[in-house]
Amino acid sequence: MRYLVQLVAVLALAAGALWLHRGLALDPVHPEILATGLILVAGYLGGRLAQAIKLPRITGYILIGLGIGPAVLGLLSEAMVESLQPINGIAVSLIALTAGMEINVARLRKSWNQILVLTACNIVGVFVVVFAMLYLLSPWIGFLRGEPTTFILAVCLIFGSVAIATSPTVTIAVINEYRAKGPLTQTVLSITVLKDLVVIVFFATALAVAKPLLDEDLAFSLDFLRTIGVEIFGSIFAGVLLGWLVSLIIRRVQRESTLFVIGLAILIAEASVRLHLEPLLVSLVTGFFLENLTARDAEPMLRGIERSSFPVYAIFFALAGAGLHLDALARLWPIALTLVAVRIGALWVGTYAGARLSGADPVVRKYGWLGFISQAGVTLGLSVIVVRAFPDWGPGIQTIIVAMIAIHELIGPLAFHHGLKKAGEVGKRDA
Amino acid sequence: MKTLVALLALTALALLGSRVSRVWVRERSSGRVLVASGLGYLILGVLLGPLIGDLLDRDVLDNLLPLIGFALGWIGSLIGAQFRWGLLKRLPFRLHLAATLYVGSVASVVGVALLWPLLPLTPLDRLVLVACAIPLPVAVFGYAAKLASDPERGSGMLVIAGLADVLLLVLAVALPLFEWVATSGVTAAWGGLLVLGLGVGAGLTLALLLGSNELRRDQFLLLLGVVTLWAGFATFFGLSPLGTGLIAGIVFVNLGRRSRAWSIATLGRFERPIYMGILLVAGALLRPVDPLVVLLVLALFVAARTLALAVAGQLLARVARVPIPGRQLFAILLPQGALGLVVLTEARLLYPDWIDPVVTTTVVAAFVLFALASPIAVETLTEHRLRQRKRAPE
Repeated sequence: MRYLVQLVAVLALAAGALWLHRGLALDPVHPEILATGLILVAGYLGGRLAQAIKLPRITGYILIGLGIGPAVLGLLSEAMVESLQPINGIAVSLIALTAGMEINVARLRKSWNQILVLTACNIVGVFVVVFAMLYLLSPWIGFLRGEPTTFILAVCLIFGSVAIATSPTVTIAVINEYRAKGPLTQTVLSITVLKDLVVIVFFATALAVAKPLLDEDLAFSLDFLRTIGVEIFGSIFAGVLLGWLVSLIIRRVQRESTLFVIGLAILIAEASVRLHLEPLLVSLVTGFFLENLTARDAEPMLRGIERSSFPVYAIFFALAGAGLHLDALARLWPIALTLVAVRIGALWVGTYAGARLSGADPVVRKYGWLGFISQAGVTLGLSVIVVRAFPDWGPGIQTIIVAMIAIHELIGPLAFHHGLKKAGEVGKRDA
Repeated sequence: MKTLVALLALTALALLGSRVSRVWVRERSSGRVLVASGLGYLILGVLLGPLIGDLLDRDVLDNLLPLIGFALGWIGSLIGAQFRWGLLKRLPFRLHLAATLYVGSVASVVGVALLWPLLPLTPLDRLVLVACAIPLPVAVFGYAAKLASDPERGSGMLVIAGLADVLLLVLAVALPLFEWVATSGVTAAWGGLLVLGLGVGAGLTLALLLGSNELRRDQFLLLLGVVTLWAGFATFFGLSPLGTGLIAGIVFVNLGRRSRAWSIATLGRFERPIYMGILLVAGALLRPVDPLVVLLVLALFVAARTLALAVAGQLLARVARVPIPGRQLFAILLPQGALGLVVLTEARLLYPDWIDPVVTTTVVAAFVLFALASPIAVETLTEHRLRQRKRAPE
C-alpha cells in the first residue's frame, strides 16, 4: 500500500509538472534527464509494488514503463523514449556481461551434451510448430490472405526463425533478482545464451532461403549469410580481444570497479554499433572470457556490475515496457494470442523431449520450458531486419511480432520465476 | 563516434582522478600535487575542445549536456546537504558573519571593477564573472584548516563549516540573479518560485522515499532517481538544476531523519568524478576570442579578485579569528574553487547563446592562474606551521 501511495504521488507530481510546462508553452530542454529520473523512481516503486504482490520486480518495471509510456499515460513521449536508446544499449551490454560471467566452462563440461540436445529440440520444436500454425492461420491474416503458397511458406519460414529467440536479458534479470542457483538456472541460462547465437545464424539462413521464394528475380544468395557470419565471428573476436585487454588491467581496478564496468559497457555498446558488430555477443564473450580465464581477478568487476544492476534493470525494462505497442496488440490479439499459446506449447514439447533424450535433471524436464517464454530486444531487432528486407509485407509481420513480444514480455518473467520457485532454486546463490 | 570517445574519456579520467585523489591523500604533504587536482582536467578539456583538438565539438557537447544537468543537480544536493540547521546553529555567530563578509567583499570589489563601462560585456556576463570569483578552494582551505588546527578551539572544523556556509551563500545569491539579468524581473520571480518549489519537492521526495525504504541498494537507486528526476524537471523548465539540488539538499538534510549520513556520504563519493567531468566540459567550452579583449578582462578580473581576497583575508582573520595571520590567509584563499566553473557551466547550459565567449575564456584562464598559486599557499602555510611548532616549546 505504501509503495502504491508513493507511486501515485510521484506520477501525479510528474503529470502536474508536465501539465504546467504545456500550459506555459515552454520549449522542453533536454527531456532525457527528466525521463531517466522518472523511469528510475517510478520503476523502483513499481518494482517494489510487484514484489509486494509476489511478482518479479522486472514485471513491475515493465508495467510501469508501459503505464508512463506513450501507450497509456503519455508521461514519456515517443521522443523521450527514443532519446534514451543510448542508455538502453549500455544496459544491454551490462546485462550481457553478467550473462557471460555466469557461464563457467568447468561447471558446464559435464552437462554440455544435454545442453546441445535440449537447445536443438527446443529450436526445432518451436520452429516447426510455429511455422505450421502460421501457415494454417494464413487465411485470417490480412497480408497473407490469397497469396501464393510459396509466398506464405517463405513468410512462415522467417516468422518461425524469429519465434525461436528467447530474451537473455529477462533470463539474467530474473536469475539475479531471485539469486537463483541450481540445475534449472544453469541449464536455462546456457541454452538461452546458446540460442541467442543460433537464432542469428538460423534467421540469416531463413532470410537467404526466403528471398528467392518471394522474388523470382532474386537468385539464392549467401551474401546475407556472409554478412551475418562476419558479424558473429567479428563479435566473438572483438569480445575475446576486449576480454584479454580487460584481463590485463583488471587487477588495477579495485575500488573503481563500478566506474570501470560502466566505461566498458559504453565502449562495447557504442563501438559495436559503429563496427557493425552485435553488442550483446561482444559483451557475452568478454564476460565469458573473464569468468573462465581470470575468474579471481574478475570478482571486483562482477561486484561492480551487481552494484549498478538495479538502476540498469529499472531503465532497461521500463523502457522496454514504454516501447510496447498496445495498439498492435489491440488489433491483432486473437492471432497473437493463438501464436503465443502455440509457441509456449512447442517450447514445452521441445524442452520435455530434449530433457528425456539427454537425461537431464527432472526439474529441467518439468520446468525448463518456463524459462524460454520471454522475448524482447533480439526479437524486435530481427523484426526490424524483416521490415528492411521486405518493405512490402515486412510491417505486417512486424506488427504480429510486436504484439507477441508484448504478451511474452509480460508473462515471461512470471513464468520463469514460477519455474525457479517450483524447482527450489530461489535464493540458493547466497546459501 | 566523438560522443563515444568523449564519454570514454570522461570515464577513464574519472578512474584516473580517483587514483590521483588517493595519491593526493597519501602525499598531501607535497604541495605540488595540489596543483594536479582539477587543473589537469580543465586543461585536457581545452586540448580536446573545439579550440585545439576538436574532439569535443559542439555536437558532442550537446550530447553531454544532459549528463551535465544531472551532475549539477548532484553537486547542488551535496552542497545543500551541508546546510544542517542543528549544526549551523552550533557555530558561533562570528563565523556566519565572516562568511557573509567574505562573499560581500569579493562580490563588491570584483563587481565594482567589472562595472568599468569600456568592457564589452553584458550585465549577465558581469554577473557570471562575479559569481565565479567567489567560490573557495575546498581542498586547499581544508588543508589549511588542518595545518593550523588547534584541537582546543577546534578552529579547523569551524573554518571548514564556515566555508560551506560561504559556498551556499554564493549559490543562493547568484542563481536567481542570473535569471533576473537574463530575462526580466517577472520571469525571474516565477523562475525563483519554481526553483524553490521544485527544490522543496525534491527534498521532500528524498526524505519520504529514503525514510521508508530500508535496503542500501534500493536507497542508491532512489537517490540516483530522485536527483535525476528533479534535475530533469529543472532543466526541462529551463531552470537551474544546481539551485534545485541545493534547496533539495537543504530540505532533505533537515527533514529526512533516516539514511541522512549515508546519503551525504554517497553523494560525496561521486563528487570527484562529477567535478572532473564538469571541469573537462568547462575547458571544452572555450571558443576563439579576441586576445586583446580577453587580456583586458582577465587582467581586470585577476587584479580585482586578488585585491578582494586581500581584503577578505584580513576580515576572516579579524572577525572569524582564524588562527592564521591575514596575509597568509590571503595566500590560502587565492586558488579559485572549482565551483566557479560549475556555476559557469550551468550558466552556459541555461543561457547558451547569452554568455560571451570572453567570459568563459576569462574564467578558465583565471582558474589556471589561481590554481598555480596553490603551491605558494601551501608553502606559506607550511612555514606558518613550522614557526608555530618552533614557538610551542618556548
